[in-house]
Parts: sequence; structure tokens; C-alpha cells
Amino acid sequence: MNVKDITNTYHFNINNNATFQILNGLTANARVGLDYKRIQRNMYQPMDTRIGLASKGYAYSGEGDQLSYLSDLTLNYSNTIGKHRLNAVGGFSHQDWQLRNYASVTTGFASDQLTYYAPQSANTVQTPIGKFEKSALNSFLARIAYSYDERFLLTLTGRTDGSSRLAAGHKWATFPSVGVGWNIHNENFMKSVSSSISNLKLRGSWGVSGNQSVPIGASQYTYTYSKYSFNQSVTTGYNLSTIGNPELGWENTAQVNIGLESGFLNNRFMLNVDLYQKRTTNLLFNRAIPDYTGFSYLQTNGGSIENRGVEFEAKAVAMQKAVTWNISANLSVNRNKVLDLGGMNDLFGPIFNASMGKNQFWTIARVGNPIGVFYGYKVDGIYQTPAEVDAGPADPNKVQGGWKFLDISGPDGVKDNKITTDDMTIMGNPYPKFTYGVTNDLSFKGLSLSVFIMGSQGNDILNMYRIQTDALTVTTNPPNTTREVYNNRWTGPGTSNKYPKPLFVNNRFYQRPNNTIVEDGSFIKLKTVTLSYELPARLIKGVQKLRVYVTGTNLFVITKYTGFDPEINSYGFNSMAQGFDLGSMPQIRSYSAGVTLGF
Amino acid sequence: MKTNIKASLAGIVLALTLLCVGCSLKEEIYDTPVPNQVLTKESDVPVVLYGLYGAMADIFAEGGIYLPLTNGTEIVGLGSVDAERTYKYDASSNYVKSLYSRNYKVINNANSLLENLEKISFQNTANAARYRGEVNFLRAFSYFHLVRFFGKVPIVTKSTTSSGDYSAPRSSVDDVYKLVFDGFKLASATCPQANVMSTAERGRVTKGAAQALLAEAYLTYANYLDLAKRSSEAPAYYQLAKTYADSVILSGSYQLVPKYADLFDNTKENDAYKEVIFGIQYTADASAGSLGSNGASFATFFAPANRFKVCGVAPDGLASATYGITPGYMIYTHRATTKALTARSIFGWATP
Repeated sequence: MNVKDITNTYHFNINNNATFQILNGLTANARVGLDYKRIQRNMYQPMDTRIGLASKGYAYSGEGDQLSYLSDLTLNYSNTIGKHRLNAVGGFSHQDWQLRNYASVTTGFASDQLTYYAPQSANTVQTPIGKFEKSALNSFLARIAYSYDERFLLTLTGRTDGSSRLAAGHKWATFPSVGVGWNIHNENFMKSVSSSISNLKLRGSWGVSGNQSVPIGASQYTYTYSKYSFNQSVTTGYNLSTIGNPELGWENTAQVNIGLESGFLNNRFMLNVDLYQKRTTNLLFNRAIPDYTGFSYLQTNGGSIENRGVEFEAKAVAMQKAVTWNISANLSVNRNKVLDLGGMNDLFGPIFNASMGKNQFWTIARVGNPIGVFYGYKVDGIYQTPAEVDAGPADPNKVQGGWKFLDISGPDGVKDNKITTDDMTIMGNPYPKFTYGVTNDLSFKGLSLSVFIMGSQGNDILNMYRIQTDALTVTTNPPNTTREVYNNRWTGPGTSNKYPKPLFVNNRFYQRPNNTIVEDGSFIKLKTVTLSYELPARLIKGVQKLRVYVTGTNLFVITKYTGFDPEINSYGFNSMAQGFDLGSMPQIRSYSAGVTLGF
Repeated sequence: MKTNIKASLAGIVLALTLLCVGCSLKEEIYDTPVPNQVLTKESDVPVVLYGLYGAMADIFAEGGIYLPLTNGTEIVGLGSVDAERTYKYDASSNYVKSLYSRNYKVINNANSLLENLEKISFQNTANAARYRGEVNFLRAFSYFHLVRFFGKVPIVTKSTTSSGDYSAPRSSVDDVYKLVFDGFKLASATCPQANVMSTAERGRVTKGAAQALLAEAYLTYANYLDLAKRSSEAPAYYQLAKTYADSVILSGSYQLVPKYADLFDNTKENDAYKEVIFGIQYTADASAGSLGSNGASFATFFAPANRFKVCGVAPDGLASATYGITPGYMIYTHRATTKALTARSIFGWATP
């Protein structure tokens, strides 16, 4: 019998909009939206599967509801008097979210017939797991857009947001912004060159935005469950799991932006340049606190981070006769820097075990450095001779044929000729020096070709798979190794300065995060190529449009990275876990072909 | 008519939006217990108190107290060589770290519960005093572990808040012991003797447990004074140790089990409580296994793999012996877990 695993998703979405004309130019707009999603998953592992065999049939039934509700009420005013044009919006919005999950597992079935349809026929019911969360966001907002003579533009916005996730008294915050623009191409003095300079716009903005993405309950003390038995009977009790923070408030990001848009020869050539500086303050983060507090972390605000960067975007129509050729390219440069960590110097990233037998962090936020840089020991080759071993710094793990760890510092900040945690240092940066993309679109009659190339330069990747494949240690659960590592391992003086000799130790890499798995993650990738042909209209009677195409994605990559794919991110948006390659799915190469018909 | 319907629908939409202008942003927590809702009155106290016992049991769970208790070299991870066995461990070892953090988790929970007990009005003042005694006992029990394993440690007697500066200094060993003595003493004055307690309460702190641990703490402190070349201060504490040990012995609550091996037999657990003065409680009920409280992990990890019915291992369960251990330590680790203070150990040194 096959495993049955069926997921059903039901999605309802209702939006209602009502507009009231109050005066000429003044309208009120009321909107109510409801979004409801229900997900059900039912799974049954019959008795001839590994899980089903162990538990005599394994049934899982889970369901989840997500309900979100949005209502807003805005007043809009638009008017044009002579060269003055004004548009103003003000209003209120309310959003709330509700999430419910419920799942249960039953095992021990008499036969495989009933599966998850009859959990009551199972012998054992595991404690079901449920979840229910609610959160809400209220906002007052106002925006005024004013333009004069299509030359000068001014936008003022302000919003005050209140979030249920934050502590009482700190729920509300106001976020203003100002934007100005100057359409230089509309000035009189530009008229003489308007045939060559078709668009020239200078714009600048300053604004503050907020972030309230903390878990539900982050501002409150919460309990967790613990069990204890009194006289052989198991009793559930509560003990503290998180510290309440009655001052938990919004994280703010102030951004200054200056941009120049330009277009030449009737926008045949275009170039946009944007410069920005973002400064995030009152950062929401989990501050590590000493164990004597009874907790490990405190959800708090503190510290600041700066991002600065420049973005270029260029477009050109290289040919526009029988053959048209459009080129567009972009280049982004961003630098980020930790300015302050609420008085602390270091903040460590998430904890990974990564098969090393010890839970530890691999990243650090350190004042003056990018957030989430790789942190660990530095390895400088392999001890080739006993004399080298003797000359090396004191290290309980040092051995001929083993890694030579570098003595970088000591308890007093100077080299102490001992390998200790003081020798951990910044060993890589997951952020690229720049990223870029180039798109070429060529077409001739009905035939067109589109090629997209993208790349990233100067970023490092932590190739975490290599902890398993490169460790060359005997453990209770021996991992596999690669031929590269095995064939090039150290077997005597001078044989290898990269891969050590196999060792009988339980803990891979001596439980030391180190730079041997930090690799250059720069790459250039042929991301997509599409070739298509559109037949002339009405070639076939009744068919308006007929297009055939072939597309390939991820066709090739040029990189020094030894993992599967340098375009990775195992931990998405976690700024403290960027550049990790651990269990991430490589981008798949795909080819597809299709026909588009229009009637 | 049509326009009327349209207008009324628009009106409803407008009304719904206006309704939410006053919507509350107060955060309600539904699926996680929060102290200001579950601990407000007298009848709420036991659940949080039981949670504190649960936190205490964590000290003895996997990774907790093994390393220091067995002195490192006694642990032999079968099939491997690790830092703990070869004395290469430091504070970053999970064994060391979790021993420290789990004891402080008990301490913080105890501090928090003590503060909450002050806010609750009790009808039954004897109960209130007993709760206070138990919480003080459990806090002292953790400090007693900490001071023996780490020496000078920070003394924390207030629950942790978000506004702390988190830089408490380490207190002197004398101050930590003073807190330990005070805690056990308070418990010995407010907790009932084991022989007057109902069977259902078995596992909770008793007067005898407090006195026995007080005797052990005085004895340990006296020995510490001797070793610290402050021998002139020691005799008073040796005397106190004797006094409190005598109180336990003379209370008539405890007697030795005739056959020592029976202490470790799951099926004879009830009889063992004649001898066990204070033990970490586990259930030997296999069906309660899914509740997460079956079997002491200490016995599971350290007892030989073919051993059934061993204390703390559910009756049909099997000890796994992931680690080898010098047999002598199993004596110290006694019933159901690692650290149970028995009449045998009291008699053992009181009448050498």
C-alpha cells in the first residue's frame, strides 16, 4: 500500500469597496476585506513503510485556519488650480490576523484499511498539538502630494501605527517622510536640448519606517510546561520561559535617498542612479543574557545598524530597425555596518550543531563590522613534522597531520601562544561587494531571444556540508566523505596542506568553527534564456495569437564555490544567518517549451 | 431599489470600518500560559510549584549533572573519545553550561514564585507557609549544587526583569552557604514530616528532607572551612550537621530497607520510601511514558543495557548504557535518579 498524503487548501477572499462623493474633489473611501485560508493535511503511513512498521500504522491529521481582516477608511481630496496640483489622502486602517492549527497523530492500527478516516480505531493517540494566535495593527495615515507646473514635486506622508505585538505604552509610533522631486526636463532652459535629453529628474527623500516583527507574546512573561511525578502520577506544572519586556517597542529605520533619472534621445538610452543611507535604530533582537538570570535571551530593542549603497540601472535600445535589441543592466552596491549593540560589543548568531557534537554559533554582530559575519578559528595549513607541532601554540588537539590553528589573541587581547576561544575571529563576510544583472532582448520579425545573466561578487559562503564530508573522523555515526578529501588527505610530511589525516575523535573539526569551509561565493549565472516565435496574426483562422517558445533556466554558472550552487540561502531573511549552505535546495536547471494561443 | 441596496451595502462597509477605529491593541495570549493570568489566587499556586519541581528535575536530566557528579573521567562515551572524558573541557562544554543554567533556572523560577506568593492573599496560612518553605528549599537545593560545583557564584534573590544590567558579581562562598542554610532551615520549620503526609504528596519537600540536606550542607561547609585553613570556624558547623542529622534519625520517619538492592527495584518503590529521604521523582509507569516523565535518564544512560526494572527505567524499558560508569557512583546515585539523600547516607557518616 502506498503512503497517503493529501493536503487541501481552501481560500476565500472577499473585498468590498464603497466610495462616497462628499464634495467636488473630496471623496470618502471605505474598504473591508476578509481573507480566509483553511489548510488540511491528512497522511497515513501503512505498515509496510519504515515509520508505519515501527508504529503499526501511523496517521496524521492536521488542520490550520488563517483569517485576516482589513478595513480602512480614507478621505481623498484632489484639486488642480492653475499650475498647482494637490492630492491629499488621510484615513484610518485596521488589520487583524488570526491563526489556528491543530494536529494529532494516532498509531497502532488493526489494518491498513481505515487509515486516517478512523483515528478512533487506533491504539495510541499522541497528545494533539494546537496553536492559536491573534495580532492586530491599527494605523492613521496622511499623505499630501503637491506639484507645481509639472516641475516641482513634493510629497509629505505621515503615519502612526499601533501594534498589538509590542508592549503597552510602546505600541504606537509615528513615521514621517518627505519626498521632493524636480523635473528638470520641464524647465524652459532645457527646451533647447529636449531632443537629446528627453528625461532628467532629480529626486530626494527622507523617511522613517518601522518594524514590529516580533513573535506573539514577545513583550510578556510566558510559562512553558514541565512534568514531574508525585507518587508515580505525572503532573503538569508551569515554569517561566520568556522574560516580559514592558518597554518593547518599534524598530525604526531612517532612510535618506537621492536619485537621478535620465533619458536621452527620446528615452532610447536611460540611466538611473540612486544613493541611499539607511540607519536602523532600536533594533529588535534577542539579546543574549548571562545564564544566572535563568534565561538565555531577552527580546529587546537596542543598537543600530547602517546600510549605505548605490544602485545603477541602465537601459538602451541598441537597435530598433528590423532587428530590435534592448539591453538593460543593473548594479547594486551595499555596505552594512553595526554601529551599536545596546552597549554590548558582540552579539552571536543562531546556534547550530551541524554534526560537530556541540551547539555553537558561527556568526557574530560586532560593532564596526557587517552584521552576521562568519566567526571562528583560523586554520593555517597542516602540521607537517613533529618539529612544527612542537613549535606551534599550545593546543590539546594539535597533532602531526592535523590542522594548525592560528594563535590570534589571548585573554588580554594579545597572543598567548595558546589556542582558546579568544582566538576566534571574523573569518568571512556573507555580503557581496556588488551584485548585478544584465538582460538582452533581441527580436527579429516574430522571432525573439531573451537572455538574463546575473551575478554576485565578493561574498563568502559557509559550506556546512563539508563539516561532514571533510572531517575525516571516526564517529558513532560515520558520515560519508568525498573522493577529493579522501585522496588528498595528509599521509606524511608534504603530502597535503589542506586535508588532515583521519583521526579517531568523536567531534568533527575539534568542535571548532573554522575557516576551512569558508569559500568564495562569487558567481556569474546564465539565469534564463527564452527563445520564442510568434506566428503572424490571423495565419490560422480564428486564432489571434500563436506563440511557441522554449525556456531554459540556470543553464550554467561560473564560480569557484565547491558546493552544489552558490546562489543559496538556507536561512532566508535571518540577518544573522546569511550565506549558510546547509540543507538548502540548489536552484534547479529546467527546460520548458510551450505554446500560447489567443483567440 | 437597486441604488438603495447599493447604498445600504456601502453603509455597512462604512460602519464596519468605523467600528474598528476603537479596536483594542491589547495583546491576548491564547495558547501559552502567562503568569498574570494563571497565578493570581491561592488555588493557582500548586501548578507553578509543580513546575518548579519539574525545573529541578531538569538538573538531573540528560546533560545536566552527569559530568561533575561523575567527575569527568568516569564518563566513557562508548566508542568515542571526547573532551569531557579527557579533562579537556571548559565552561563551553554543554555539560558544564547546562548544569549552571538549569540550576539558575530553578532559582529564577523560585524567586518569581516567592514574589508572587507575596501578592496572593491566602485563606490557609499554613499552606502559604508550606509553599514558601518548599520554594526556599528548592532554591537552596540549587545554590547548594552551584556552590559545590562552581564555588563563588552570583546570588540572585529577585526574579529577572528586562531592566537588569545583567552584570551581577560572584558572591563569596560563605554568603552562598548562608543562603543555603536559611532556605533549608525555613523549609524544615514549615514543611510536614513525611510520615504525616498523604501518599499522593509523595515527592514533595518534607521536614526530614530539609533537615537532612541542612545537615549535609553544614557538613560540606565545615569541611570547606577546614580545607580553606579556617579550621577554627569549622567545629560549630560539624556540630550543627550532627544536630540536624540526629533530628532526622530520631524523628522515627525513616528506617533502612533490609536489602540494599531493593532500593533500585522499580517494583518495590513504595517500600523504598522508608529509606529515601529526598529523591528526584520519576514514574515507573510505562503508560505515562508519553507524558514525558518516565524514567530517569541517568539510569537509562548509565545502567547496563540488559538491566530491567532499574530505578527510573520504566518496567518494560531497557537501560541503554550509552556511557560506562564506575560502579561506585551508582550507589551515590540511588533511587530513581542521581541524587537522592537516603537514611543510609545519614546513618553512614553519623555512626561510622
